[in-house]
Amino acid sequence: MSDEPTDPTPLSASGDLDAFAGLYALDALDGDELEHFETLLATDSELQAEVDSYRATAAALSDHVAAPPSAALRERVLAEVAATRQDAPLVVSQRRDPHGRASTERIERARPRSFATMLIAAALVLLAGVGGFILRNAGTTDTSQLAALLALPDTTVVELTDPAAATNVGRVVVNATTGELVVVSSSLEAVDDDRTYELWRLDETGATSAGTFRPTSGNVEFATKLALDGASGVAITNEPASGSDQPTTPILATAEF
Amino acid sequence: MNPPISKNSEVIDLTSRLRRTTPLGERRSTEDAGDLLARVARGDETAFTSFYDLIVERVHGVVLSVLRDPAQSEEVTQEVMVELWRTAPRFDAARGNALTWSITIAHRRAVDRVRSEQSHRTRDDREARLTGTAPAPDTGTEVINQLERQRVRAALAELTPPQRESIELAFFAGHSHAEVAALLGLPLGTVKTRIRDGLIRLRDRLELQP
Repeated sequence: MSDEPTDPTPLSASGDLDAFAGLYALDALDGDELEHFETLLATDSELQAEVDSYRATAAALSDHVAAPPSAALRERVLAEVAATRQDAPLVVSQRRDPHGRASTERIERARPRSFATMLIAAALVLLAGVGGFILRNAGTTDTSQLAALLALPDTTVVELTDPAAATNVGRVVVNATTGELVVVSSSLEAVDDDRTYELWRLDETGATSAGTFRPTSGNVEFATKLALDGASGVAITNEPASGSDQPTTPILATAEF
Repeated sequence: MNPPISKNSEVIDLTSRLRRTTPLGERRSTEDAGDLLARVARGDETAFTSFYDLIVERVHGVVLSVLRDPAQSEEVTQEVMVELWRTAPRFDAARGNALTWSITIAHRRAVDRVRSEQSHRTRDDREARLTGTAPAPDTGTEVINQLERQRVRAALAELTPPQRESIELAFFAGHSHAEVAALLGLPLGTVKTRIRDGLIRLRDRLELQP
């Protein structure tokens, strides 16, 4: 095999992540690599921008293979579209009610108000890998700790789920040796000033507090450490700002180890 | 050596501005895919019809490139076009243009179909698919401007053969990077680097707005 000519300088300092961004944009990642990359992507807006630019490049390549389908397809598509309801747009606006409390209002068609309907489609980013073209506050977070954790061999990523709707609301990255744990989510809503989210360590005896956290610009990347021995998983509830000794509201999300 | 593509603004703008051909006697109209999609997002079915006519050849082309089978490709193209209609209200123009959004979804769905089917295929079928490369382009499209097509072809021609080969296998043929490495008998890292470098070169060459 002949030597390749020298290639242009990679754009980002962390050349490896940049290469993964290219693979991801071409849908060439799968398995563990895909999951790890998507977890990083959920809170790294620079990485997302890199992926977006590679996707634009790939999309332009479609010119090269463009081919018309049958005329019959057009009729089938238009007929199906006429019978297909569109998804509701996702717009988050912060409003204050007469009592001065902040509430998050969604503009959408009538739907039952469960936790699931309050999802910002982080599921698109975290699961489907389509790129999640959604309205989402761009947060800047330091992903180096998370990236370092993901690089360790005994680190696993588990789903964070809304038990009521059985939908994904984020991920929990946990290292079996050190007990380091990071909750990653883009779909936990802002909490009122007098409230907070609290993480609970779950085991046979019940729930123990593992810390409190509040979303920043719509993103959560909450790092903590747990004694993993005997722990069955974690849960998240909405508590008063000072935290609680035991959960006082229904569980919003859980993850199993 | 390929002649350089003229860098006037008309060429640079072509990717997001798709020219629509109309029957003789009617005025040609240039409609922006993004403008159409904004109307589609508000439920405008007429706008969707125009949007369909504007992009389906690219969507179908990408799907066909990955799936190879015409019947399956039509099926997946239909699914994709309906998905574009259904999710148009959630399209975020700040993140990318309408074409990128559409092709991203099309490619993803085609690859999903391949990856889910591979587990059901016989060993022979799987090997037959692994030896394939991207189908020949230029099947007589009505909508794609020849200048745009030449521009992309020229950009692809400027890649090193290893870069182009890896990108063709990964994107046009829809292989995972492990499959590409297996097909070429190369380490994963080499494939990853070739794809990354090829993409950067293409990105620079095509001077796209993401």
